[in-house]
Amino acid sequence: MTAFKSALELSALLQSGDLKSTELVQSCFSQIREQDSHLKAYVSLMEDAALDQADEIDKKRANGERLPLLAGIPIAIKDNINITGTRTTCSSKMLENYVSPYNATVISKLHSQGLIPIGKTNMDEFAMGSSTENSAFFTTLNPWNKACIPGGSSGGSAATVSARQVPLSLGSDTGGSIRQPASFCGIVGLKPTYGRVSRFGLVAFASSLDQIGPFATTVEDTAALLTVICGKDELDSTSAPVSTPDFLTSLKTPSKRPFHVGVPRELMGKEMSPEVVQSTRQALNLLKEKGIITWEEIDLKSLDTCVAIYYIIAPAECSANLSRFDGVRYGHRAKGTDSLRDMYIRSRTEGFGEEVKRRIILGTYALSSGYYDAYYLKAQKMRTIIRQEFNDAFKRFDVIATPSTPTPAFKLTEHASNPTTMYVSDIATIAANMTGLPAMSIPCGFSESGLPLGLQLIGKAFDEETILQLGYQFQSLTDYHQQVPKGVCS
Amino acid sequence: MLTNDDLDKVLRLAHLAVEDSEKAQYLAPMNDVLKRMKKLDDFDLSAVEPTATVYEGETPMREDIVVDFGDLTIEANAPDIEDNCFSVPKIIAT
Repeated sequence: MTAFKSALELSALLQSGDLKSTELVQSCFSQIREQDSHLKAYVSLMEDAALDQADEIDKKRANGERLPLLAGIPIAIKDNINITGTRTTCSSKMLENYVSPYNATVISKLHSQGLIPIGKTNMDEFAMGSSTENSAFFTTLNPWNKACIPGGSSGGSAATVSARQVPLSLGSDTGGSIRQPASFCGIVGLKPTYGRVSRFGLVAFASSLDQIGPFATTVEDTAALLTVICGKDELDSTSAPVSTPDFLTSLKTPSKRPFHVGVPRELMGKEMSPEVVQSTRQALNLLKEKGIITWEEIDLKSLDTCVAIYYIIAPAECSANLSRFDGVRYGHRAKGTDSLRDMYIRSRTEGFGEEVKRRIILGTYALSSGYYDAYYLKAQKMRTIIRQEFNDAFKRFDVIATPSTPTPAFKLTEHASNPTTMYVSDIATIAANMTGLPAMSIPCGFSESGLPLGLQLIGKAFDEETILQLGYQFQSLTDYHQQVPKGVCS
Repeated sequence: MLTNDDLDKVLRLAHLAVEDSEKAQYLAPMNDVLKRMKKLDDFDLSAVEPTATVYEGETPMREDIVVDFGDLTIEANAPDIEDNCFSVPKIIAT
């Protein structure tokens, strides 16, 4: 019965000798074999390497070695994070055969703590999308309702944890790509403060917004994994020189009580579905009844502009980052080209999917002579206003709370005819990327049709501890995080 | 608003191609995004400094010493490699 246990419960079993890491890893692959032909969370699996690593850990444990807390626990990795010797495709034809020559810093950190990567998860191509439908390979399905998408771009990482195939995973979040799929799949997903986790080895989408972060079923597991992956890294020039707290230990000793929570009116109104707003209100009122928080609605007027400026700033940065894919040094190269320019154009046109091309085009336009001031510079100025509004709000409040998404998970192909309607699903999550603030989605209820709903908690810069403490207290009062999609076997 | 001519110009800059029959499906969503930027007209941005990054530290510096990253398996990932060089189509006509 390993599938329904959290990473920390499994860790206790490993430490007591009641479970071996090889057994645990085998049970994960058994779950994946049973479910993944229809769930499609994985782009590639690493069964041999994972079992070898598990065996090594079991031997160390049998020899009486003292091992780190999460040693022997399997973890899934989004397919834009490099692991030496494995394919890192970004779910793109451009990188379909690309084999990573080095480990991302987060992978080195996982290895040093004995966590075991078991496979690379599906995503929207180059992390551009909110449903995994932009994957060049296939669409991942939502374990709660297979007619629905799991969210994105880290949809595979969210779906595999939600389906209890693996207790932990890593994703990346540029505009909500961890928190939105966590909400849609009924699990916890946390985007750390910008600079908290090294981006070295993460394939770049929009470098001023990207952060790697954890998925788990509980806030405790999230805290434990976050502690592992944080830290200053000389290989990432934006990695912040701040110390890493033991997030797990600090969970149970809240820094204050009650926390003061601000709830932006802009995200509790007509753009959000009524059941989403209702579940957020119920969650906040429960915490208030128990004396854990006080809360009040506030105005954050700039939130209305987040989607607009995100779809200028992120494409502008992506158009620069993806210019490296030219068919010369790695990635797809078109056959039978007759000039260098022809090779560039055909390689990029064949290798990138429609949404990636759309964003490169949009970003190139926003950065081009004559349009830079009207779009890119203006969006960057608005970003300053958003930061100021949040800074002002955090003078009064410890946490800003919002629904994680405007609706529950939507149906497959629901937004296929007009991609910009899908862009709005990031309306609540983008601000944390624009400001660099830490934010977490935790399960807070279910829709009428039985789909999970999420509560987003945004904290002050480098204050992940407060949102984790608040999330932990909410999970101590509720059992939404313990609900499991139908059809998930033990 | 973006026109077909704008799109052609940007495609040249971005080293991409789009079939004529597909241009409308690219243009419509992009124009939607540009229209959304009108929401910013409610804010006076004239004296506001732009934010390019939220990272507030200085650019870290280190000694200019070569670091060995080991075997980066460059050959294995290269589409075409010859005499230890990346091979590309001719640039200068003969």
